Amino acid sequence: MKIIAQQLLEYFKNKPKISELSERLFQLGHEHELNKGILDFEITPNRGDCLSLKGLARDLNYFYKAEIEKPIFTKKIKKLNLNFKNKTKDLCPNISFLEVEIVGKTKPYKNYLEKYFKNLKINKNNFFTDISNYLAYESGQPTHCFDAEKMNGIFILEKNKKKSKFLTLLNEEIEIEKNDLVFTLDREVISLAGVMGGASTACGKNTHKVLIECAYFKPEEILGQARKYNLNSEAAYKFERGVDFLGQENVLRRFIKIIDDHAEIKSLKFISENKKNNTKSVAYDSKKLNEIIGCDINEKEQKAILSSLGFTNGKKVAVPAHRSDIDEINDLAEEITRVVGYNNIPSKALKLPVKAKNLNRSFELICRNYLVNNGFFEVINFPFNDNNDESAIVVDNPLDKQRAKMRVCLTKSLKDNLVYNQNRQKDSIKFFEFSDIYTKSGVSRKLSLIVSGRIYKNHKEFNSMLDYGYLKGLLKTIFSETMNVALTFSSSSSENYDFRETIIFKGTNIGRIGKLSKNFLKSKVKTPVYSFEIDIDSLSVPSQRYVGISDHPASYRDMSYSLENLNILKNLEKKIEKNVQCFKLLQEAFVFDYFDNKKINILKVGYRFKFQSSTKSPTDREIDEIMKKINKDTLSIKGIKIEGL
Amino acid sequence: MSEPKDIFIPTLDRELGSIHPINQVKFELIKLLTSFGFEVAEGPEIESEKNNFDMLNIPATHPAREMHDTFYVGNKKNVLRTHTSPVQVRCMLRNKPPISFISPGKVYRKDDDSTHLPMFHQIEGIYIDQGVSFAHLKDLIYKICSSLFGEKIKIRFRPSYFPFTEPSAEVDILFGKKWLEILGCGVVNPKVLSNCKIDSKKFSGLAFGLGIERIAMLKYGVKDIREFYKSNLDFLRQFK
Repeated sequence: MKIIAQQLLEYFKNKPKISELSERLFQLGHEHELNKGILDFEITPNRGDCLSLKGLARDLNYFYKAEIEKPIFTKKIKKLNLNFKNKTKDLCPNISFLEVEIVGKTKPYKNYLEKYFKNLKINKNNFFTDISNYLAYESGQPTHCFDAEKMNGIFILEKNKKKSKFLTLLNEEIEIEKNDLVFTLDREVISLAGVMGGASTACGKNTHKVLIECAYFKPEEILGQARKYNLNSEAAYKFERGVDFLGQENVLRRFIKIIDDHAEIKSLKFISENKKNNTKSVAYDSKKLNEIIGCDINEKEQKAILSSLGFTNGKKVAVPAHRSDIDEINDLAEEITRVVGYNNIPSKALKLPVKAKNLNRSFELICRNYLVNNGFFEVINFPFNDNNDESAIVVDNPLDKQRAKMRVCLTKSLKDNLVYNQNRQKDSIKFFEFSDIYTKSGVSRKLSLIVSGRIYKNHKEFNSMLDYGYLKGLLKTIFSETMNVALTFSSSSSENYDFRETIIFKGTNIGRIGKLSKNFLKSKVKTPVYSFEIDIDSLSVPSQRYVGISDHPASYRDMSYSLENLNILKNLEKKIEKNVQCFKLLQEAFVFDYFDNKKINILKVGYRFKFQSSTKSPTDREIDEIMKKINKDTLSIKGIKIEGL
Repeated sequence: MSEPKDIFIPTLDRELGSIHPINQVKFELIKLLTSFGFEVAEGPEIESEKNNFDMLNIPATHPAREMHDTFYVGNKKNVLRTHTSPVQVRCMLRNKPPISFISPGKVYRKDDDSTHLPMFHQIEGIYIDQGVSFAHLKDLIYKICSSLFGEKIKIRFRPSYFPFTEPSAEVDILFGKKWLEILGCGVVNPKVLSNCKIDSKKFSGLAFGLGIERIAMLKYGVKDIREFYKSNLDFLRQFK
């Protein structure tokens, strides 16, 4: 909303500089920009009363003593006999009509009116509509001018009975829906109430007799109407934020005064209907006000502030009719705080009660740090896409068709991230994302990883490529390191994968790992892409407990196994793991050497075994006995040899 | 014996990855606010209209509902939460005062242009107890802003409008020569307390909310909010 700063200053006895005025407006909560004498406001939606010169002057009254009321026509006006019926008194309780006839030519616009059009670059229309527009700017109350000569018939304010075409005064044709609030003349819609009048009854340059409608519409009845019909309506903007429900007669008397300033009035007739008269009140409690604000403002000062804003003081504070936003003591506290200035309220030390904190480690926290340390970058994606999954939640009002559903997995988003970077010549990509996934069956927390390209950019690993083994090894390591659990895998398939395995954690399927198919990737880059996605809801990291450290030395044994093929390795791993579980003295076993030469058909795996006790140094005999058992177990696997044995 | 030249030293440069900058800021804010005494509470991103609007004093006819411009799901039965305040509603319904929670998370608005995204992150806080006032709120806000932007940061409070707080304020910080809006806050509206079965005559509260992208943009000097969600490696590499 634009306001001419000079016109606002004219309201005040103590005229401040424009810069000071601007600061006060900020203090009161009226955010604006000041440019070449024009104040351009963003008034908060609760302050419909400030959408005018008068409203802002009223809000600044405490500082500059405003003369809020402009001259009005004060004489008695004849009653208007209007064939009008208000069928929606609950939606429009207060409505007034003024019929004015002028004779002769109108005079050039006086300074206040001319400035409004010139400085704010508003197009003039016709005499009556121009005054109506100015008056909305000055008072905040919209009015609508019908050409009185075109108003012969039964005039009704009602809910639209059926869909009907309507040509607005801006010559835009719209189809008004059933049950929207409209003015009709002989059953034809002539105005979308509170939003815009129609072309059929609009005033023109030759209009000399006008019927001016001035009403209070319930804000919720007007809310969203202009938007629904794509109409730009200042009137609707004001009505939906609430206007002074008792101000109609005063505004029409001001209308007459402005006409009188510019033309010779031949006749005046007026009628009004006022069903809503009761103003609200809020119990006054000086102590409570100070408790809310948190400082001591004496009763006299509190009352002076409220009075300056138009409230009537007493045991109960009467709320003026233009303040639809006030209905409790916290609202009054805000009024007082605004005028005192939020920045002038001293702060009070706040100390929150201390509560025990949950210091448990989470899988997500540990895993995120582990991945970052291994060169992975975290991404965050929007949850919308266009998947065909039946479990996907449909967005009722999506931004577009491509974002009409909630995603059912993270992998597709990560795939898009990867392709975006491949297209930008990135040859080593390692991404992960943690997110909740919402489907028709509920919500679950997921982790997904995607890898493609070089492992690292160093001279040893530059030519090594991220592959399935890397990703699977990483996944297994995460679980063994954070939860001391060995994952198992079973073969599965999907059209989105060239090959895929199901990930099993303690007997439960928690996700999938595999190589993504070219059809799914739709990337020009041919580098293979691997991904896993797991459900992490059920993963809890065991709490850390200290285990005594042995002061006795450890002993090691190395064993080299010759394997006929790689498939045997899984069995070898199982047998050795079983022995680690079985013998307390055998602390750990791990692969320390791996040699695979397909040309000469040699596959060797070197295992190191660590023996240690907390009570004594392990003897050779003890170690030999365990090794004997391990050798017996491992050699029972077909296709395994130990050279020299 | 001369020192070996660097060129002969074998290096094994393994690049570190990074936590997403929005999560980095979120975690820093959580750390800061929990150090003040707040507990972390989380809630669903798909919410009922009741929790997202009605309980927070935003009735169906209220202009604020238009302001939020909401995504609806499940045949308009639910919404993608437009703020993390519904988590506070859940906390108030579950606990008795004194209550002090923060709720970080994703929120959604039907918006997509150069300065607005359909999804972004908020962290909101609430404290309910006896005798909590606007002056206490100011103290907390000063502490938050000083911790984030340094003790010398200049702050101003402006009256604003949020249906769930009264009085309501927006807080600006002086960044260079410009005042930049940094957070919204206020005294919890007694209607909200009553909706959440808290005796509003006995208890009062304060609430605040920060946009995490806003803080991240200021902290890192990112000019375009959309950069955070392009997943461009060149961008992500800068936040190790």
